[in-house]
Amino acid sequence: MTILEALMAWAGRGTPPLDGLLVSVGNLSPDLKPTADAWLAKLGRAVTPEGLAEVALALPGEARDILRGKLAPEDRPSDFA
Amino acid sequence: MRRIFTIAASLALLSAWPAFAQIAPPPANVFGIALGAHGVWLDGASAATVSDIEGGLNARASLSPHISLVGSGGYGFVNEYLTGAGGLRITATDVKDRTFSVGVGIQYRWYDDIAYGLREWMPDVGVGWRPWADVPNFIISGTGAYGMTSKRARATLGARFVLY
Repeated sequence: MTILEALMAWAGRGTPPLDGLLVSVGNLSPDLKPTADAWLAKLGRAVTPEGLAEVALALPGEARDILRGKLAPEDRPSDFA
Repeated sequence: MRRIFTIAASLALLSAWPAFAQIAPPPANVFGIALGAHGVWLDGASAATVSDIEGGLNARASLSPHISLVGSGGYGFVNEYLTGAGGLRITATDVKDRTFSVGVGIQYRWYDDIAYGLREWMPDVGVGWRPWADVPNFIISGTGAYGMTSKRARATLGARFVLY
């Protein structure tokens, strides 16, 4: 189980719907299968234990800065998902 | 004469394309808004599977490198409903990577007709990908979410165009 699958299971489902959807897309369309496979590979690698630990350590400080009015925006495509 | 004009116009358009395509990446503003559409898949042990095509707007307020407030409003074209959501998303991947990121969080989702979905809190995972460096405003997006009251999963896969 990848970290992402663990996160999806935390959200309450044993089967990650987004992963299943990507597999279905790849199976339905040979043209889209390379893109769907690339996405699945990215998803499997994207969230690592080290990365999650870094996020966990950063959050309290960032929350404190927000409450103090110090904003530090970043441009992340997942914000528009 | 017409042929010469057509060739000249085609060459002019082709030469203008790089300037159009190389739109500068959007700056890291606090607020952002994007227009888009996506397919929706719902399932659940006791609920009928509903699928739809939604179009609408997504907005974000990026407060810190990892923390954003996110929201959306949309219309389901197949089943003709309004829906919206709002909540918090935390980026779980490299925040400096503007081409691909994964965020986890929770949103409150509502529908104008509960026949299509309950008003409930939904933990979610959102994925965004800018596949082409030349067109940074274009994003492929996907989400997976789970209704804490309905016990239904909701997945989406679609595209966004960042307006601001």
